[in-house]
Amino acid sequence: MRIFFCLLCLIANTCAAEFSGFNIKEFSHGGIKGWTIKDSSVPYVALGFSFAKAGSSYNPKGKEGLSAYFAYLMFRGRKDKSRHEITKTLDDLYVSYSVHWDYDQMTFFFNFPKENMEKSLQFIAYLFENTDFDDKDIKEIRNYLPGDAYVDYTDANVLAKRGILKKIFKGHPYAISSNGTVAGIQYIRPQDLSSFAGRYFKRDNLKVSIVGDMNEEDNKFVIDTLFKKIGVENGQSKLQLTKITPRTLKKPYFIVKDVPQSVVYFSHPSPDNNSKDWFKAVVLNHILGEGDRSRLWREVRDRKGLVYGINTGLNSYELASFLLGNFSTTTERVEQVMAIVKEKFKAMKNQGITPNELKEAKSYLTGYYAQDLVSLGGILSTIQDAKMMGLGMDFVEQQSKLINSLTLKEINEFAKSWLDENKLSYCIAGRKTER
Amino acid sequence: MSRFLSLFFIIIFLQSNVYSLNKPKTQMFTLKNGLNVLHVHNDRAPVVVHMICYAAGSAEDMMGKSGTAHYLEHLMFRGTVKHPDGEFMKMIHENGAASNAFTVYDSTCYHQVAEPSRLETLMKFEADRMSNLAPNDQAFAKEQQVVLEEYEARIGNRKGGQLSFAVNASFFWQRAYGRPVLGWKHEIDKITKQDVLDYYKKWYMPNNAFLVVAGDIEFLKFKKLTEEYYGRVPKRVLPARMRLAEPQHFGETVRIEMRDQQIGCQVQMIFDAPNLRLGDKKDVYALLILEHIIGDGSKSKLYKSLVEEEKIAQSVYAFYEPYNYQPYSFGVVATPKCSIDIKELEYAMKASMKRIVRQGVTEEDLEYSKKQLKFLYYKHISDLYAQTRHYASQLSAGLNLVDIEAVTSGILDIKVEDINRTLNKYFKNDPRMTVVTVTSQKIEDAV
Repeated sequence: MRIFFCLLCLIANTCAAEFSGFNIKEFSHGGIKGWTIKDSSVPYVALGFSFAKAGSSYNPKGKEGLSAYFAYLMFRGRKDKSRHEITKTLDDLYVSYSVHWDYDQMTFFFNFPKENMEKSLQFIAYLFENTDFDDKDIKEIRNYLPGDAYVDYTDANVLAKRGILKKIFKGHPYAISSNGTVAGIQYIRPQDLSSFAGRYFKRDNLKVSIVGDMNEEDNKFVIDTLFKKIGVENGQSKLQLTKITPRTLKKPYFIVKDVPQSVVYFSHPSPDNNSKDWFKAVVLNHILGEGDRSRLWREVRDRKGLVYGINTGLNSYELASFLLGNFSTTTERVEQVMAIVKEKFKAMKNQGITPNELKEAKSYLTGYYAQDLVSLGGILSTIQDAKMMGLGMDFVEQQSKLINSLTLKEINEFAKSWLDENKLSYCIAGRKTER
Repeated sequence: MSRFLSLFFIIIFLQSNVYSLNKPKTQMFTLKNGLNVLHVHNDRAPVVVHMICYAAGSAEDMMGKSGTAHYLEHLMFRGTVKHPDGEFMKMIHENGAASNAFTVYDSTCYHQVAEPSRLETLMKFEADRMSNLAPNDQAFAKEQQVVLEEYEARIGNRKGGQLSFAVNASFFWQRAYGRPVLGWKHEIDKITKQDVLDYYKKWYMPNNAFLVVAGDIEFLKFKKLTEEYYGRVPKRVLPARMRLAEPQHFGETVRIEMRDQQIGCQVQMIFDAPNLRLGDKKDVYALLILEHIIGDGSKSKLYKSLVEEEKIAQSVYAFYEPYNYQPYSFGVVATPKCSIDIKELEYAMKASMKRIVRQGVTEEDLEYSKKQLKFLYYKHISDLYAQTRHYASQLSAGLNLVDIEAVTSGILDIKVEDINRTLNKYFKNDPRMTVVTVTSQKIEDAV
């Protein structure tokens, strides 16, 4: 019987290998659900959790930058424990960490050896429960953060990127950097920071993923240790910010900057990543401007040698979606490249793509995501992203299926309705030219 | 037949039970043509890492032709009889794969990361370029330019690169590690297409290669694929690696100084040290621990004495490379505080090393370092690319799987006596080389 059972296992394994996806299991404990992938080959663990609506858009008016400020302080000193002590404890436990935030959410990633699991989680819990930060660190970050915002004013690339978002999202929180504003940061008080976790980190906006040498009991331990004490409902989650369609600028927004190369960012509307048209847009964007084999790259870089690189990408946030592209070139060539961008958008709209392009794009798009999956951290952030997007555990299979099912006809029809060279907006950071 | 089958499956099942211990699930086999294959199964995510290493690196470059191995690495992307120039990279792109290669002293490796169903295509192309390389003259000339540009970027424009050339050339009297992987510029200039193809014919063959694949591919299916694609490449006569041994040294300390604004102030002390392939394994394990005890992190001996107590250095570290085909070296490095005279740091470092040898290490030092090293190893190999590289580069540098996998447990078995004996054996005398770099600013100050 046992032999038979083994045989079955093997056959099942073999069959499963035919179509590879993630080995994700869902776990549920204490009202919190999460995804987990078990890998016992190395006694190491990667843990990630995100809080929706803890990103910069949800910061109070006048205190723009609160999320960033809090995130920078998270692994600094507390009133009862110096920064040095915290770093030392994390080092001894071999815990590595990172924190990420954007317009919408805040995400924490941790790595630690399995044998330090209990102590590591207890210490992480301490950090989340004790957010009375050391005044010295509060002050240090306050001086550091505007420095971060200051980058916006010196680096032409950041300048142009911030510039276009500022204009196309005018009047909306997305117009402001997720690092906040210099003025906002100056108005943030210590009690805003110490109360941040209590206000923003709630069960109803929490998503957890665990990858590595962890069993069911271990996963429960994670939940019990880290999230038992946190409140259920986030007051913020009732706060519904309005969705926005990025505006089209009538003429390029120009930021004068004395640099040898002008940096240009351009935007175009995009469908949301949960719309039926999303993958059609993904395919078209790939062919148009993603990577060094795209139409734009071949024309502007390979054939004409006008730029070092040119790229486009789709961005889909909670409240808005848009295509963003960029290139750098000498001031004299800016208009020439802009004209080519316009022409390529128009050509794709009118003539669509070729069967060969579609075949290549499908092959690429159903394979490239694997590049991010070699490390535990890469797997973790991939599945955590999918979870935050509200996708199912079989998202790889689903997406591949969807992409493979797209026909040339429907994509070209969509191109006609979506792409519009007159909806391109530009922001240029560089020297003024005589016009 | 069915009885036979069941037995077959039990064996596999038992094997996989053994593998459920905390260690990558490795299985090794050799194809009829001599290709050595290691399969590391891990189905946590839909990805495979495919790496092939040839047991030939820059150390196999002919006299007067340094840089050949590295040049060949570049040409391997420039077309075969069946797949002309451009097709390899087109295939990589179409499959959404990531691809690269690297040349080191003892091996040359090619690797890709991809979604598992693409493995067959990757194997088809990789097996093809194992024996059918046919770059055209244009590609050859273009790559020569690229190689020279790489030389300029890494060496011509970088004092740090120039210094490492000088250090290695002076440290190794005979071992090929004295010759740079990139090659000497006057020799790269003169490498002909024939030189590169001669090297290729001499060393690139299944019986001189190590294939390591880690990820979401089931063993039997994987084995079939390797037989189907790599199995077709004919075995050839493999020449022996001709390596000159290092002659006796005489207790000398060679001193290298470099003065340049770009390079910053630093003192390096380099000692002879054994490698895992030829040396005493216990010594190697002890030295791996000592690398940590002496110079890794804020609890290390040198950090405590030079940074915390004497406040003479800003940072310290140690390096030890035991996985080469021939012995390499053990070094300690310190960066001084700006105001310090570099000589002072040099004396302090020497005194610290002597003190460490004299006082030895404590049980507590050892346990702490063992633990941290274990965690570092786990963190490292939890990454499939790192895991693949770990196995492939060590196998192709002449180590066997048993020795490679024994290192972690070997380290855990080391005792305080082993460490102290090793300290006395390798660090009692002055280092064989001292490297001092000073910024030109400092020199002006001194004058």
